[in-house]
Formats: sequence, C-alpha cells, structure tokens
Amino acid sequence: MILSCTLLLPLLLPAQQVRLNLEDGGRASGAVVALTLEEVTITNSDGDGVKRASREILSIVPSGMPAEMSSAEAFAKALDFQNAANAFDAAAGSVEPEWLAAYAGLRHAEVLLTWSTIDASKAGEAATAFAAWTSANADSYWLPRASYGHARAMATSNDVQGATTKMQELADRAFEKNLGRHVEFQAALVRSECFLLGGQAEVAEARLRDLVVKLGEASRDQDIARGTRQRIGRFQADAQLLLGQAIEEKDGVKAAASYWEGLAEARDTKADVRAAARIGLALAAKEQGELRTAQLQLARVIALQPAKAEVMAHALYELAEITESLGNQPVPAKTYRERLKANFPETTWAAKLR
Amino acid sequence: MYATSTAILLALLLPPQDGGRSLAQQDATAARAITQEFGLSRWSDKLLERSLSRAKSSDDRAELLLARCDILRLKAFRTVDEKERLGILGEAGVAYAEFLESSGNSRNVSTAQQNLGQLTELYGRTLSNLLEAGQLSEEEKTTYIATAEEIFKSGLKVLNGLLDTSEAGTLAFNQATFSRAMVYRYWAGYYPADSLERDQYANRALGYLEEFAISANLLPSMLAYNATADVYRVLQDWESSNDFYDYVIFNTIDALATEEVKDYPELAQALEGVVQQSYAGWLAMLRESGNQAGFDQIYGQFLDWLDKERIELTSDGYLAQLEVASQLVDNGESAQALALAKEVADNNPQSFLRLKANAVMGNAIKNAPDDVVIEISTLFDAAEGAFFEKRYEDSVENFRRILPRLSRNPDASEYGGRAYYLLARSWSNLGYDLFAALAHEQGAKDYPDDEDSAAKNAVQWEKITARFLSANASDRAIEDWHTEAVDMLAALDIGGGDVQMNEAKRLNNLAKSYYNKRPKPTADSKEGQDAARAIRKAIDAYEAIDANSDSYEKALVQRGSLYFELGSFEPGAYDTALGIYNDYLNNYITAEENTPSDPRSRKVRADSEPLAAFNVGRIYRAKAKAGDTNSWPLVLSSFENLRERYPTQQSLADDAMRYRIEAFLNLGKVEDAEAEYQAMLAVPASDVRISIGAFYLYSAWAKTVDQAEDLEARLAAKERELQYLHAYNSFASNPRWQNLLGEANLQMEMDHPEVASGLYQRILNDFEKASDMTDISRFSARIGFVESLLAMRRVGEAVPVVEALVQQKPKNLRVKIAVVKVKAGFLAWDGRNVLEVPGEGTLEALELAKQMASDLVQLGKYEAEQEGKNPFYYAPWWEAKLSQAYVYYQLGKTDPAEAGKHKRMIESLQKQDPTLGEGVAGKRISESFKWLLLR
Repeated sequence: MILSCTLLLPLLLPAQQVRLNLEDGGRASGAVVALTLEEVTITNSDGDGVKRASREILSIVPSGMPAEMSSAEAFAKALDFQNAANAFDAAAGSVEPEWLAAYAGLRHAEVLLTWSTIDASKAGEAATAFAAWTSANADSYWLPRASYGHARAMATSNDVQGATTKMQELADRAFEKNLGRHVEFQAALVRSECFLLGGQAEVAEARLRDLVVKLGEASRDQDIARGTRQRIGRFQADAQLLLGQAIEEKDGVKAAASYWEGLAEARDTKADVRAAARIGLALAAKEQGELRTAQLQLARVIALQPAKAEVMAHALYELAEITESLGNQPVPAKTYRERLKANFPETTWAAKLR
Repeated sequence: MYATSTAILLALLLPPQDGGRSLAQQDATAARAITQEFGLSRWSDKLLERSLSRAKSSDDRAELLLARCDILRLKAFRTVDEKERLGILGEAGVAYAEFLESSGNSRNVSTAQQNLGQLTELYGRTLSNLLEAGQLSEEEKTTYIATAEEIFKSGLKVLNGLLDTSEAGTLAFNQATFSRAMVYRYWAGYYPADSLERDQYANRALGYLEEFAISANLLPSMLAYNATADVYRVLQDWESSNDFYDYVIFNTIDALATEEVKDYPELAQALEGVVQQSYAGWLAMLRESGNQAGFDQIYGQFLDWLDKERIELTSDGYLAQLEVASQLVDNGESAQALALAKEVADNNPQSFLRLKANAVMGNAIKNAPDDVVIEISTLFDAAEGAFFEKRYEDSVENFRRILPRLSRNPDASEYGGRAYYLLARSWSNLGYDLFAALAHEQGAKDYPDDEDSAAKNAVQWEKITARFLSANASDRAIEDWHTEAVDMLAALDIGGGDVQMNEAKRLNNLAKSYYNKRPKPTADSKEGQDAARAIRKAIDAYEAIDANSDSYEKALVQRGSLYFELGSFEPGAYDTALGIYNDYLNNYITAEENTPSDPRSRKVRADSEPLAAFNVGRIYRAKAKAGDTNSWPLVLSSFENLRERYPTQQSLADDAMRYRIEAFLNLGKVEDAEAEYQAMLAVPASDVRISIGAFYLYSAWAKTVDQAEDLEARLAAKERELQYLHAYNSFASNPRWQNLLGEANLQMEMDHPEVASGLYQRILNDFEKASDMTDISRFSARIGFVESLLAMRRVGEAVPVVEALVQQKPKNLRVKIAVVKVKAGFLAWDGRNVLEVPGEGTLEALELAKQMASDLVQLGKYEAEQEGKNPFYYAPWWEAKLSQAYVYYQLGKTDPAEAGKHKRMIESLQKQDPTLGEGVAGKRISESFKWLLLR
C-alpha cells in the first residue's frame, strides 16, 4: 500500500458507532463510551466524551456493525428466524466491544419473540432469553426495551400476571429514576398489550381506553419535547389499534365496527391507524356476509392509503381471502398473494403464506 | 424532418456510388451517420439488417457487424436510463463478441477489442450503480449478474489478448490494464460480503490497480488509487479505503495548485473531476460504515473546497450531493434531503443524475414523518418523475404519500386530481385494475372542479368498472359501482346523453336476458321477480336521459317497450306503457318543438313512430290474451292499415296482419281471418309471418273439427285444417317434424297418399335422428310411410321398411296388416273396379301372411267382443277376413291342398251376411269378396 501522506483527521477511522435519536427530534452520533440505564456517554467529533441522561434519548441504534451482526440483521429482516437467532447468539459471544455483544444478545431474544408470532412454542424460549439478558444487563440503557420484550414473551406463554407485574415495576422504576415519559408510557402500553395477549380482553379494553386519551393529551403537550411527543404519538396509534383488537375479542368483529368507523373518519388519525381501521371495517363487513363491500374497502386501503408494511400486508392477505370467496372476481386472488410475497416478504403475513 | 427522411431514404435506396468502397462499407458508414447525426438507431438497424442479408464476403460482413457494434455503443452512451443502458450494453457486448469471432481485418479487430474492453467496464459500472441504488428486483439482479459474468468473461479474454499483443506503455495497453482492473473491481461488488468470490475478485482488482498506478502518470494514477479506495470499500476495509480517498484528494488538490497543472486547463479540469469522484466515494464509504461524524466533516471539507476554488460540480460532485441527501434521509431530515435532491434534479434535467435524484426524493418522502412540511410541488415532482421513468411501484408509494397531505394543503386543487390520475395509471401499469378504478373514482369525486383530471378520472373509472361488469353481469355491487361512474360522467357532462344511453342500453340488454329466458319466467317465480327488477332498472336508466338530449325520443319509446315487457309480471304496467305510447303519438310528435330538424333525428322519428304505433296494438293483444277480451277489437283497430300508414315498415306491417288474423279468430270471425290471410298472401308478407297466420287458422279449424256435429261438417273442417297446416309447414323456414308428421297423417286421412308419402319420407330423411324424436313418433312416421306406399300400390318400396318394422314391433296391428299386404298382396278398389296388388307371393311369405291374417282375425274378433259387438258388425274384422281370404286365394294358387279354401270361407261368410259386410265395412269389402269368389 503506497501512501506518502495523509490528511489531517485521525478520528475518521471509523470505530464502532451509535446513532442517538434524541427527545428534541434531533440526532447525535459517536463512538460509545458507556451505555447505562440512566446515562449514555459517547465521543463527539472532537474526540471528547459527551454525557446525556437516558431520558433525553429515545433510542440508540448501532451503525456500521460488524459483518456477523449485519448478517444476523439480514436474516431477521428476511424472517429467517432460525438463522437470525443463531447468528445473533453467536455474535453475542464473539463481537466486541461488550455493549455490542449485549446488543446482539438482546436482538437474539427479540428474534425469538418475533418468531413466536408464527410459532407460539418459541415464546417460552424468548422469555428465557429475555430473563437471562435482563439479569446480566440490569444497568443497560436497553433494559426497558428488553423488559418490554420479556413481558410480551411472558404474556404469550400465559404468564400474564408475571408480564403485567414486570411492566408495572418498570413504570415505577422509570418514574423513580426519571427515565423519561416515553418509557412510562410504553410500559403502560405493553402492559395493556399483555392483558390482550393473555386473553383478558375486557381488562385490556378498559386500560387502553384510558391510555389512548392520556397518550393523545401528551402528544399535544408542548411542554414535552418534540421527539418525545412524536414517539408518544406513535404509542397512541399502537394503543388505538390494540383497543380495536380488544373490542373485537371481547364483543366480536361486528361490535368493533363502530369503533373502527370512528377511528377511520377522525381527522387526526394517523395514516397507519386509519388504514388498520378500514381493514377492521372490512372484516366486520365480511363477517356480515357483505363480501363485495369488504373487498372494495380493503382494496381502497391498498390503493389509496400509505401505511407501514405490516398493515399493507394484512390488507393484501385479507383481500386475497375474500376475493377467493368471491370466485376470484374481478381480479384473481393469487394476484394479491403474489404482491404480498414480492413486496412485503418480511412481514408476518407473508410468512403465513409461505 | 423532411431532410432527415430524405437522407435516410437515400441511404436505403441509392445504388453504390463508386467502385472504390464496397456497398457494405458504404452502408456501414451511412448507418453510423444516421445514428450519430440523427439518433435514429432503428433506421440504422434496418439498413444494416438488409445489408447483412446481401453481404457476400466475410470482409463485408465484418464491416457491417462492426458498424452494428458501434451503433449500439453510441446508443448506450446516449441513454440516460441506466437500466435501459444496461440492456443495450449487453447487446453491444454480444455484438462485439460476434464481430470478433467472424472478423479477419486486424485494424478493425484491434479497435473492436478496445471498444469491447471499455464496454465491459461500462457495463460493470452501470450494473454497480443500479445495485447500489437498490433499483433492481431480485429477479433482475439475478438476470443482470448472470449476463455480466458472460460479458466479463468474454471482455476479460479480449482485454488479456490486448495486453498480450500491445506494447507496454501505449494507450491501448494502459486502457486495457485499467479496464481489466475495473472489471474485477465491479465484479467483486456483485457477490455477498465475506464471500470467496468477492474477496478473490477484489484482490485481483487491487493487484492490477497497483500495478497500473505505479507506472502511470498523475491523472491515471489518481484514478487508479481512487478505484483502489473503492475496492477497499467493497471489502469493507474502512480504514484502507479511508486512507486511499484521503491520499487521492490530498495529492490531487496539491497538484492542482502547481503551475504545471494550471498551464493545462483540460488537465486541471480532469483532476478536479477526480477530486469530486473521490469525495463522492468517500462520502458513500462513510455513510455505509455509519461514520456520521466523519461524514459531516468530509462533506464540510468538500463544500469548503468547492467554495474556495470556485469549482463547478461535475456529475461526481452531484453524486456526492446525493450521498448527502441520502444521509439526511437516514437522519430523518427529510425536508432538507428533498431540497438538496431537488436541486440536483433541477440542475441535471436530461441526465441519469435526475433519475437518481428522483429516487432519493422518493426515499425522502417515504421516510418523512406525517407532520413534516414538504412543498407539495416537490412531492408531486418526485412522484411524477417516478411515473414517467416507469418506476411504477415508486410512483404508487409516492402518490399515496401525497394524498393524506392534500387535505392540509392550499395547493391541493392544483395537484389533487392529477395525483389520483397518475396513481391510478401507475396501478394500471402494474396490472392492478381494481386499485386503479378506486383511485380514479376518488380523484373524480374529490376534485370535480379540475376539469381535465376529473374527466380523465371519470372516464377511466367507467371503463374499468364496465369491464368488471361484463365479466360479472349479475353482481349488484359492481353494477352499482359502474352506475355511479356513469352518473359521474353525466354530472361532469362528459359523453353527453350517449354515455347514459349506452348504460341504459346495457341495462336493457340485461333485462332482456332475464325476461327472454325459456321457459318464460312467471310473475310469482324468483326468475320473474329478477326479470321485473332488471326491467325497472333499465326503465330508470332511460328515464334519466335528459329531455334535451338527442337520445330522448328513442329512450321514451324504449321505456314504453320496457313497460310492455314488465306487464308480464305486473299487469298494471300495460296501462303505463299505453299511456307512454299514446302520449308520444298524440302529443310528443305533434308538438312543433319536437319536429326533427336533421337527418339523424328524422331517422329516429321514422323508426320510433311506427314502433310506438305497433306496440300499442301489441299491448292490446297482451291484455286480450290475459283475459280482457274487450281488447280484441282494439287490436284490430290498432293494427288496421299499418302498412299504408308506415309503408317502410314491412316487418311491422306483416306482424300486424297476423295479429289481426288472431284477433279475428278470437272474435269468432273466421271469414274475416281468412280474408286477412289471403291479403297476406297477396302482399306478399314474409313467409315467416304467413306461416304464423296459417298456424292460427289451422288451430282454429282443428277446434272446429273437434266440435263438428256431422261427418260432412267434420270433413269440410278437416279439409281446411289440412289446408292451413300444409300452408304453415310450407311457409315456415324450419318446419318442425311434429307439424310435418301431423300434416302427413292428415293427408293420409284425407286420402292424399302421394303428399303424405313425401312428407313421411322427408321426416325420416331429415329428422329420424333428431334428439327430440321419440320412438313412438319414429314408428308413426315409418308405418305411415308404409301405408302411404301401399295406398299407392308401391309394394316393392314398402318391403324393406316393413321388414324393419316387423323386427321392431312384430305384434303391432298396423305392422301385421302391412306385413300381410306386402307378403301376400292385397286387393285395392278404385271406386269402380277391384285391382289386385301383388305381394312377395313366395310360399314362405304366404305362410307368414297366413299366420298374420289369422292373428288379425282373432284380434278383430276380440276387439268386437270388447265393444260388445258381433264381429259381423265390426269393420276391422271384415278387413281382417278379407285379408285372410286373399291369403288363402294366393296359397291356393301355390298349394293344391289350399285350393278353393278362400271360396269356402267367403261362402260361409255369405251365409251369415249376404252383403258380405258392405253395410259395415263398405262396398270395397263386398266387391273384393265377390271378386275372390269368382277366382
């Protein structure tokens, strides 16, 4: 290698870095010095260490990961759960520095949890993985995130009590240690979700109704930082969808229709939620035997609404089912299944088709 | 344009100008010029194709093949769209390979080799760009990479050959070295990270680049080091990559500051390009490695350099800008990313950079949170750009993101309609018609004031839903949807009355399909209710046609027809129909403002008025047939002189006459009915209508026959019955066998065996195998045929038919009678004389006949007893006895033991009845017996 001189910037050697999404909506990047539950330290472009309280940081994403991690993420993206889980597990034992290895361990548990949405038997394994992780990383910045996963895994494994208790504990701790409103709210949201996962739709409904209102208020509260407000807004959207599911489970698809209708027509409903609400309405129509109406409603969601991949994939999945019932008219159902597999291969709905 | 066409035509048509250059060479030159000067590569292709088909020598062929290569190369260079360019490069690669295989000319071979080398490198670069930009589907990736491997293999072979044959240090040698290295550089990038192939090809590239750089001058060596940095990037060796970019930039900027370089502006410009290329690569590497701090710093440096040295951006400089825009997207700074990408796009309207910028803008939009304020024109440009670049998935994604923002945007009305239209077109191009229809619908509904877009949206909405409807005619939801589209067209005043009229016609046809079902639906059946509903829907559609529309008059008359049809299911509808027609005939057409003023409306009037008048009669007829017998006279009056009133309406007038026959008959006025029939014959009306009239009369006379009180009246009625049945069959275009058989039997009954025979034969020839012909009818036709032949004394013709009948129904009475006649013969009577009709007459035949005759006698006796009669008072018994006597007579002629037996039998009968049955069975019987007595 021939180099006679170089430029002036030694810091350009790319060390393992992270990107911080901040509560004010901004971002920061740097190499990690420390990632604890209450405080995060990274080095800035001058090489100086900068401390931030965890409450100021909405999320931390490693960037420029080593090949084994990138490969594991690629497997996870492709819903190749087995390989993803194995790859993260291996990375947890091999990558450096330590915080990255911990992150790999967290991802391993999260992959198992996602896997359990297809294969329920993986929920127990996920719960065990989360338990081990939280035990070994009790002071990690990612502890809340791991706790959410742990609670979901426990609820899916029928330990609703354990799951909801865990979330209550996290909420209390978040309040006590001032970890940020977003952590408290997310804990509340996951707690409600656990009730739903555990078949306690009535309890879930009551809590979610309350939570939707609180989240709505918080998302408009100008005293809360912009980034946090946006995050809370997303929680509200999730809560609205969960509430719909709770009503469906408790009272049936038809009863949920009026809820979905209200949500679909409300001016401030987010695009994803509006799309999901219209899917709910379509399924209600389907249950009443109005297949053509349901078909057109679902088609309208896909044709005209922006929505994230899971929502769009859900709409395509249901549209294909209904179109098949309608004798594959006016367009064959397989058209929609092919689109689902080609355009949304990483969704659980595509995994269902496979 | 004219000059261009002339030049091309001349090139195609003119014969060779001189003997120095061959025609092939001239054609090759012309083809290159056509593409070079005018960009008309298709014409060049045609010229070369034609020329190749005529080429005789291998030199000529080589010349033409090389020209084809060059044209493709030029086309590739000029193509902005990288995917399209890739396809052309592939073709060019194949063309060069083909040329090199067939060529012998060393000068051309060398040039071709160099060109192929460059093309190979360009293919690699283009594919690399597309892969990095994520613009290929998995299928495309597989296909293009496979093609790349083929091209690289043949390209590398050529490059290695060039390196072997060229002198080191020459331009050809250097270019080949560099190209070879670059091919490996790109090739490495096609394989997954950590794969053996990536590693191998990358290291080869590194080796060749180092080798090249060492001995090259400043500019080429910097390019080589830059490429080295790129290769390290591919290997994800960030540190080394970093070092090389740093090295290139530092040394090149240094060199730019020297007097030697400043004296050569072209060299300076090229070096500035290298710096920008390095910055672009460096930024890409930093972004890929997630080094945000480094990225920000290097970009800052880049901007400082541009500003300080007042450098104009090259395409690599713009690529650097796009890297920054992409990084901004990653950082969630969508608005800034959009602005930057848009700037790149605006500054490079005709370049591949525009396409890349559009892709970045699309990504920025996709990732922008809902509350980020983005100028709608920017959003729209990105989406529209994707549409015109045929990136339909991207345009769908982008337009879908625009839609929710429209409600908050004051410029929505300017963009909304067109956004929905292009979204719908994108869906259509992707093959999703249902989504397209929904987008068109929403666009038309939400932006009706955007005249252009609203019209286009509404028209397409209607077209697509009409297609759905034609495949699902009974689907109510789709029908309603289509109707909504039609109504929208009407509301937007598009297509005028024609659109509504077409819809009404469609519904009319649909209604017909319901009420014309056979068997005809009854009022209380589900099919009847469906029919009524369909008719009402069609009526509503005609009613919706505006009174000022050109189609109104037709629609009015058609409504009347539909109410008439509805009357079968809702009797009250007849009166509504009458009301419509009477109003039309008495008020509408007499009103001055409704006088037709142009040929079209005059034609409509000429067709509609007679139809309305005719339908009035039909309505009265329907009412009469439904039980209102007072309507029959109204049928007569309605149809009276229709031909005179509407002389051009022949078929209506013909129908009117046959309806009048029916009416006369229902009123008991047979003579008037027959007079009407005669009038039909005199016109003459159409055969079909005459046949129907004849059928009415036949039916009426058949009833009269049944009701006749005496034989004479009965016979007279039967004659008429036969007359009209014959007419019915004669005038019908496809008479049914049932009616022909009925006529044949009647003809026999009325003693017209010749006519009957012809009919029977026709039935057996044309209908014997008909699916609806029963065995009974088949037998009836056969035995009738036999009897008609026997009546005409054509025994020989009857024999084979009788033989078959005996096999089928040996015990049948009529068969037995026929067998006796055919086997033994029989006696006929012409009114005055007894005629002998010989039969087979063999001993065997006579024995059979004897047996049959005996059976007939027994049967006759049995029947007589069943009726409580003495056989001597039973005509069929006498017939049987006559047959028997004749058989004995014939037997007596053959067998002496039987001689005279017939006489003894007759004498015995005579003792019982001296008249020999004349009073019971007629003179024929008695005279026949007497004839036998004398034999």
